[in-house]
Amino acid sequence: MSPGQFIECLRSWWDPSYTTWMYFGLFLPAVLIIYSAVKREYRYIVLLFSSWFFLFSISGWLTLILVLESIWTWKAAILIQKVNDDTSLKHKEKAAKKKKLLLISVISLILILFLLKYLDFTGVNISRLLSVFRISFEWKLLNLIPPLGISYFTLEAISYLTDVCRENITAEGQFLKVALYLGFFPKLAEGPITRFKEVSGTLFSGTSVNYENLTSGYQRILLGLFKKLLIADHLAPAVDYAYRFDDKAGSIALFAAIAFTVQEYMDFSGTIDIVIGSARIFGVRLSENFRQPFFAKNASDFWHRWHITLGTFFRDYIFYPVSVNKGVMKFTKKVKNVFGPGVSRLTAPSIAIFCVWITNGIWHGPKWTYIFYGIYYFILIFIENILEKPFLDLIGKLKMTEESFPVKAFRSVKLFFIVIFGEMFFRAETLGRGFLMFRMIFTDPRPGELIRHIGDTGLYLLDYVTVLVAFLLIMALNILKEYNVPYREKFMKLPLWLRWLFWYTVMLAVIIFGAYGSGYDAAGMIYAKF
Amino acid sequence: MLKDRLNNNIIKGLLFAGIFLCILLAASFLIKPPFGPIYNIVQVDQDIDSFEEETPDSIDVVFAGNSEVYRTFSPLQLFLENGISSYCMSGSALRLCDATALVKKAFDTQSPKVVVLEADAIFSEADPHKDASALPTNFIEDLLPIFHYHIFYKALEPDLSKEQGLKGFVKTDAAVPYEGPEDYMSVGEQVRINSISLKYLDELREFCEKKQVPLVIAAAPNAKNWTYSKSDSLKEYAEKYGLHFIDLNLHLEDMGIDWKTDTMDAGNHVSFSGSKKTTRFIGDYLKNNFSLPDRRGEPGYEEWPKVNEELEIYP
Repeated sequence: MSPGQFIECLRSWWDPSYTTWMYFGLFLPAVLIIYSAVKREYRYIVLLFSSWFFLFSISGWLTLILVLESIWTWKAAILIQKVNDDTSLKHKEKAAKKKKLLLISVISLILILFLLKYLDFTGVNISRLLSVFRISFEWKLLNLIPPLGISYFTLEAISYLTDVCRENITAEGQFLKVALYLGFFPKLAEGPITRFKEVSGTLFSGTSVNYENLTSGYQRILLGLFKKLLIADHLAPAVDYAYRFDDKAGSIALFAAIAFTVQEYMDFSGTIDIVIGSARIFGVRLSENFRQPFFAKNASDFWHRWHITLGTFFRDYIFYPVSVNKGVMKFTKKVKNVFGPGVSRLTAPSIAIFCVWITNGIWHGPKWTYIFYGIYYFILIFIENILEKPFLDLIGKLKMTEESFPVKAFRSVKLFFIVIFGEMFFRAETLGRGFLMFRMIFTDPRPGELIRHIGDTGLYLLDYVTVLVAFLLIMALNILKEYNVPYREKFMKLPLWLRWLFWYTVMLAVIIFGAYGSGYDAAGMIYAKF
Repeated sequence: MLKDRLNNNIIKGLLFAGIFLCILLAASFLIKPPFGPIYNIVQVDQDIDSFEEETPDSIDVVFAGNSEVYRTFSPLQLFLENGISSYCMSGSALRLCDATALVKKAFDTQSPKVVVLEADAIFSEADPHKDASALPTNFIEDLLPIFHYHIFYKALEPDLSKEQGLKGFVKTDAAVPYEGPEDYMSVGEQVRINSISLKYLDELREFCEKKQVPLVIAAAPNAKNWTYSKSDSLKEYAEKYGLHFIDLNLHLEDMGIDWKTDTMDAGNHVSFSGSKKTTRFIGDYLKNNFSLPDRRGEPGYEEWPKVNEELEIYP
């Protein structure tokens, strides 16, 4: 077998999902053995080459883009650091020089992302726009393919360079360490989007594999598998079916939206559990990406609990800089002079929030549905910000507090609809299809159609029972977390045999009731495509 | 102290994994089907459960294969027109390994006189593994079959797509005309029976030889997938082993198949009207080539015409 054939063979076996045998049975144990066998100071190099191998087996030679971006980021950060350390420069000079370096390096990274991910989308839309003015311009699709995880490691590179520029961190001198920070395999496909400062301590320390890290890591992975295989992957064919026939009745469209919301949450948070668990085995602590999002009190709070690391990235690198931007501040002053302080107080944050949400939408991919998704949340959060004070005044007059049941119930119902309608547009094939679904829910619900078609979704009745029971168990766990019940401590006080029995039961549940193997088409990781 | 703790943890870890491995081995032993490796345990178990509801030794012809079987051959029509008692043991995208297992299982409760294997499954994926080339996954599934057969419990649900009285046949109202070339068999790549299909085909043939039951390979009308090269390779195989082979695609005019009305999905499967024509043809073929008893009016077969009266399927 030639090397080329071997690589092709390996790639045909390889599945990028973190829920495959290749990952658990072969890749992770192999990395673990090699990692443990080498000296502590070289262990991060094992992690780096494992990460590059991981990406190469999925994206092939596109891995070079990650390597080149790593070199670029490492070198640019060192140049910025040199300016930081240059005591001969005056403050303004230093700031201008740093800004120039940062802009060049960040724009280059964004340009690569744009070329690989958004060029066709932009070309096609320019062509459509020009056709309105009767200008003939046909965009020939290039169909460029980006490497897995480019949206994630590009953001991490931007955060690293910006943090060096802001002197929050010192630039790392060793290239291999910067490369590992950007390409660490567990977080490559779906994040979380980590900051160099948060992760460097544990990522490069070469912590020996120990019993505590190994058990807690695998327990977290098991939780992720439970969410993904028992809930998300079971729902995948039903969601696909419902989105194919969402124009038949509003009830099917509503089912599609609810089922997709559950599927996406369980898929994404489940994968993040596997990611965090995998990293923990090597003693690496990654940031949490979810915090019981369905317990949020409003849309803004929801985004503090859902895809947290993306939200904090936008907060630190878009919201704050835009809010204090000179141009925005000048505009705010003008607004104050014309409309008064009440309106001007909302101006700067609203402009910043708009920038955040447009970027959020575009970041998810080159589709109008994603851009609409961003605008949707901007409008809702904007309205919420305006109405929050009158709402609090109203509940005060009604002699209620934010903790009163009717207030909480109202907020939960409101958030439920905000989230599922948002996800409905997010998953819709086109924006027009999304609006059609939305309209049909209210104008043509026909619940009978859903009952008639529920058996055609490809799911057995027992699959629905599995999804429901697993969903309730995960929600029960979320309640314990939300109310800070010390369930872990209580669990650890149980006798060993009882704890083992619990873990055996969970593992068997995943093996028996999981959606994998014959009879299932593997459902990919939803967030790996962004 | 640290060493003791380390040793203690290693022992604990090994013990935990060891016990779990024993649990998996025991579960695998309990779940593994007794009739050899299969792909879709749910479909096979559901088919067996339905089939075993038939009166013992009442079925003379068993049709086996994928969806082409339950769309093409109607046992109820065969009974009404020819007096042949038959049953379709088939499922959507059923693999040849599963069809072979179903035929073997059929002989537990019945004594079929003819076995008809529809040919489409021979040229589809035939291996019991989800992906025959995924060696690491397949190795683990072979070692611990629970990973392959873990969905066994779903067979507890009946197959609602099939009405018991129709003996495995599925009636459809769908009709989407085929508008492709008339000589569709000359379109497509040259194919041969692959080694995995050959293995299961040989296994089925040897089983039928052992049971002294003739094996008929029949190709249902299929304008989407069927080609001369498939037909020729099966003809060659049948001649080599003295089997019966009938390609219905070569008898379209005799049957009166009209691709405008007789296909449910633009040529992939026949529609209900198409199934009436193919069943009539295969009925004559079976009657002329094998000495099958006419079961009409025999005690034990009273239900067959009654089902037709209740469902009002055939005039």
